[in-house]
Amino acid sequence: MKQVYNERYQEGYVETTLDNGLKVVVWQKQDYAKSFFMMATPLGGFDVKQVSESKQYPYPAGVAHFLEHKMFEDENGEDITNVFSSLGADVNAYTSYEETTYFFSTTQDIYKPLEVLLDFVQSLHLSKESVEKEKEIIVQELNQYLKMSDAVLIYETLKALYKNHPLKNEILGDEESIRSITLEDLQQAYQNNYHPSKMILIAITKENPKDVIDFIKTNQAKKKFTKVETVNCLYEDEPKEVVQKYVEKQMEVQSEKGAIAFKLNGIDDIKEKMKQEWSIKFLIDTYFTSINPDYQTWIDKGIFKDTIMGEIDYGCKHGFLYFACESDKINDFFQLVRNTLNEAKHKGINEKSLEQLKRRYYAQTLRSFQNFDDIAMMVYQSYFDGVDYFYEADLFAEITCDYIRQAASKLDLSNESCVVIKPN
Amino acid sequence: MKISWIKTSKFKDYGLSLRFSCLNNENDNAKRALLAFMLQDRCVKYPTKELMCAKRNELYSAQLSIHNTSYGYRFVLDFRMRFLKPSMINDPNYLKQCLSFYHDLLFEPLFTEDILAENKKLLLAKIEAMEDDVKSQIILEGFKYCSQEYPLGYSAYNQKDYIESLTLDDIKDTYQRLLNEDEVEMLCCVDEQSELLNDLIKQYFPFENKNKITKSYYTIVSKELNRKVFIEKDIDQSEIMLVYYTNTSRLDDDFYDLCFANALLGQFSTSLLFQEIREKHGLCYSIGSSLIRFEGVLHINVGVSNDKVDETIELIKQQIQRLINMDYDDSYLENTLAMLTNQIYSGNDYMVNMYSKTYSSNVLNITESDEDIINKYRHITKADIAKVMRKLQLELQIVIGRKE
Repeated sequence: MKQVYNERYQEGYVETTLDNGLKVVVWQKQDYAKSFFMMATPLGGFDVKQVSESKQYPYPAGVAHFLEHKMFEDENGEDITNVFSSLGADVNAYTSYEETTYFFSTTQDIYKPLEVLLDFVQSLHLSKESVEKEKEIIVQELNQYLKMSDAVLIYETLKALYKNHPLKNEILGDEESIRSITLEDLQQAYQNNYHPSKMILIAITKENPKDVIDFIKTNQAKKKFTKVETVNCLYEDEPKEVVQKYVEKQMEVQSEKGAIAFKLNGIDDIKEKMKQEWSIKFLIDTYFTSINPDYQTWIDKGIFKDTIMGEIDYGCKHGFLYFACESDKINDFFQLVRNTLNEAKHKGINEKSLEQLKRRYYAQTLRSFQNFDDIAMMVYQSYFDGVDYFYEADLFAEITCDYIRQAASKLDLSNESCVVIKPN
Repeated sequence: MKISWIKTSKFKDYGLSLRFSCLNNENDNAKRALLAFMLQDRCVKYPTKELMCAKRNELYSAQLSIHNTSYGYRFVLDFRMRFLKPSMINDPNYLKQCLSFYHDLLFEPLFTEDILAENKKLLLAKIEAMEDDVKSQIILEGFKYCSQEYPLGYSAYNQKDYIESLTLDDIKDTYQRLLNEDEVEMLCCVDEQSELLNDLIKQYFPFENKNKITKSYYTIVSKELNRKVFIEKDIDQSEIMLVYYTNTSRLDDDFYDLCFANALLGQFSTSLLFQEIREKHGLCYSIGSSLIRFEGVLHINVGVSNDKVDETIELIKQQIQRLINMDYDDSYLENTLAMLTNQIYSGNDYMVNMYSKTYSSNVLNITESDEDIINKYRHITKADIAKVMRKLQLELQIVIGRKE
């Protein structure tokens, strides 16, 4: 067991790796009524093709999310949620592009629901009939998201940017891919990705960490796991150019909204990726929020209605810079983003803005320790990335104006897509 | 001014919630919504967005959010301040600087025609965004249809033309009435009730005890039941809302029977609606019921395929009938009790819930511990649930979708 404590944030955790490879992190939160437990595996929406040393495993888009739904079924075909409820524990799950997570929170006894969590994530019970029935539910879930114009704007933009990278797919897949998923696909995805050596269990609780770890050890010692091959997500080569430069779509909305996104190269080195992301975040917050004195002029000219949403995202095989807003002058907004980014590339940011933002990010980081979901997400992401949790949390403090200038100069803005959603 | 102290060391923030209350009035809602936008935007001392942003960053992301909420007949403007716990900052003046900043925002507002025009546009854009989101739209439409004579139906969101017509004088007048006529109280969520904080609150927010608002909760007496409304929209999934009047008010003896019944019906993923309509029939992704406690209204919301609307509505009604007929397994009762208990205790881990709990007790002038409520839940029987559910009256079923 290793203890980690950060003086700056006054937060700490205990971590260990069990004999079967399961990573366990216990975060101590003395004053809170609830305890929170999460198991995560690095299987997500990106995983439409996995590869081992000897074999390739293709899956229909949305398989990770479909599997997340079916994991909740026990050996009698009953919903495992009822067992958690009977113990006063609130259980849920989600699938992102890179991970699937299962979690519960409770203010009552932690050990019984923890055992249920470990047991249901470490066993799969499927029938052809239940897989077919779940398709209808997932299609309804997809349709629910497709009613939301902001979600559609992001999906359409990523589709316009990427030809081969799985970002072109929604995490849920589309209706066709959802309907094509078979029991065998789900079994294969489970077998390849749910071995304890691939997973992490995060506990955030006031209970004694040693007791929690001992309980998990005892549970795991009773189980045997067949050794599995190492599989990784296989990415096809992605052209530098975007698929579509301009997309227009009509929806039942009153105001026009649009997004402009720039396709960037991926970054393999994880620490370099994190620093680059932080640097561009400083740039976005300096130029596209009210820190910028021009922001008021843009509002006065009616270039956007509420706020500008700006986001940077890098992975080993992808990168994109995304801006969106509601506007009656969407083409003016697109031009404004291009011009402002070019200005930002040349000027970088000054010390005053840097210090302002560092105070803001410090407060945001501190506040994230009040949210158990945020803590768990940061813990599993840093574990799957292979970096220390507090290294990632503290990284913004190391960023300098010079580093931001260098990061900005690396931005290649020559491949862009614009998407507009217009009222019907 | 009444100050309620909520002491906890679990948060990294201090939270101060300054609550202005008046009697609910349809036109005031729109004015106060606009006033809230303007107060948050800037003030005399920080007259530009840039200066406001710089000051907030200097104070480590000091946050201000203003929420307008109805508690039945009582309408509350909540001026909510949140800043880092002073012990996290190496500056002995930090607490004073934060309170001084919030004082400037509240007592030195910047009311100009330009700022009014900008915030009108912003408020109208927010309303349009809510109308575009079918899940929000159906709630706005539903409450508008079913309770025009009651505060539940009052909303700035139904008053776009009225918002357009508001003048600077309207806003100044609303602001003066807020300061001079409203009942004011403060809730402080902090780790310790220090003398310094006490003194700073008195210095920067020197409100006197004023008019006491005595009316709050109500139940709606229906004139027209079982209305059906269809709003056509070109979407692939229809949205359904059923609105029931509960005829049970906030301080009635069977109020917690109603809360329990609502939880059993649709508050959790183990409740009847979710289990039957999603898990058994596969008709939807999510479905739930909610209780509006001060207004005596229960509503059920779900999104389903356009061709499954009638089947879903029928199944929803069947679940309510099952509660009345006591036609469900005892395990539902046990699970609901366990989940409600968990929910009550875990609510104490969120500042907003702690405010809400304290404020409701103040408004109703009651003292109820978590254990008191859980104890009431423990003694609820199937017969109690049947009795309270028999009082439900279906007021409205509203569907937004495409005609198949």
